[in-house]
Amino acid sequence: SLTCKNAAKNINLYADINGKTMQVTKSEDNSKYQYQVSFSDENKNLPSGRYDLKFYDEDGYTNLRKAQRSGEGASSVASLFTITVSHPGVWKGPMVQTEFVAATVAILVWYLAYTARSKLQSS
Amino acid sequence: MTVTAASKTTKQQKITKEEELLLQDFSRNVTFKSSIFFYVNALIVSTIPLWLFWKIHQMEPLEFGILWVIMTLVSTWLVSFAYRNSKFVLKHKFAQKREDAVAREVLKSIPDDKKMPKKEKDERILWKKNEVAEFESTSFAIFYNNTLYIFLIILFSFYLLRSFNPNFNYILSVASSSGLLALLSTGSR
Repeated sequence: SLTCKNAAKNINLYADINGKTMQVTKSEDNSKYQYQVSFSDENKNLPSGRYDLKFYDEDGYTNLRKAQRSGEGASSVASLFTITVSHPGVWKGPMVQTEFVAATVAILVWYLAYTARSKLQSS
Repeated sequence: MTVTAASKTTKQQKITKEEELLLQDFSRNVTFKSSIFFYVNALIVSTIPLWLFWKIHQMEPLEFGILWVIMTLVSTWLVSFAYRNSKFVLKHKFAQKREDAVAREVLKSIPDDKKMPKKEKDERILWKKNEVAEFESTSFAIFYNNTLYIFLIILFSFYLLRSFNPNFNYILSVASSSGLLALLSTGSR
C-alpha cells in the first residue's frame, strides 16, 4: 500500500505496462485493493522474466503522452513509483513424452530378454 | 522323432520312469499345474493394460466392460499359447545347460555308504534335470513373452493406432499384440 506526501486520496492513476498505457481502475467498495490493474497477452509475447510496471498520476500521464507523441520515449518521464512483477513463465509440457519413456524402457527390457534367449539357444 | 516307449507299451511292458520322463520331455503338453500357472500369469498380463486404456485413452469401465472381458479372455488364451510354445523350445536348452551341475548336485546328495545301482542314479539325475529345466524354462518363457507383450501393447496403442477411436485402438492393439506373440512363439528358433 502507498501513502502520498501531500495526503492526496482518490487520485487517478495510470500504468505503463510493457509499452502499453492504461488507466488503473478504482473501486471504492473494495477497501483492501482500491486500485487494480491487469494485463494479459499470448504466452509467446510474455516470456518469463521481470516486468516493471510504472505508475503515473494525471500530470505524469499527460507528460508521458506528450513524450510518446513527440517520439522521445517513455523513459524520459519520471514515474510516480514502479512495481516489479516477476513472471516465472508457463510450463510448455514435459521435455520428454511419457509414452516415449515407457516405450524405451519396455524395448530395453525386451532386448535384455532377447539377448539372454539368443545366448541360450546358440549354446 | 519316434519315441521307443510307444512300441514298448504295445508289447504291454511297464513303462519305466525313464521312458515316462522322456515322453513328457518331448511332448508339448504341460502338466495341469503348469497350465494353471500359465493361465493365471497370462490373465494378469492381459489385465494390466486395461488400466492404461482406462486412464489415458479414457475408456469408462462401465461402458466398455463387456468388450474388455472378451478381449482379455482372448488375449489370455493367446498369451498362454505363446508361453507353452516358448517353454517347449527352451526346455531342452536349459536341460542341456544344467546337466552337469544337476548331476553333480544329485551325486553329492547321495550318502557315500549307500550303494545305489547306476541305473537308479541316472534316473534320479534325469528326474532332477527334468524338474530344473521345467521350472527354468517356464519362468523364462513367461518373462520373455511378458516383456514382448508389454512392448507391443505400448507400440500399438500409443504410436501406431494413436489417432484411432479408443474402441478400435483397444481391440486392434490387444488382438495384434497377443496374435503376434502367439505367431512368433511358433517359430522353431
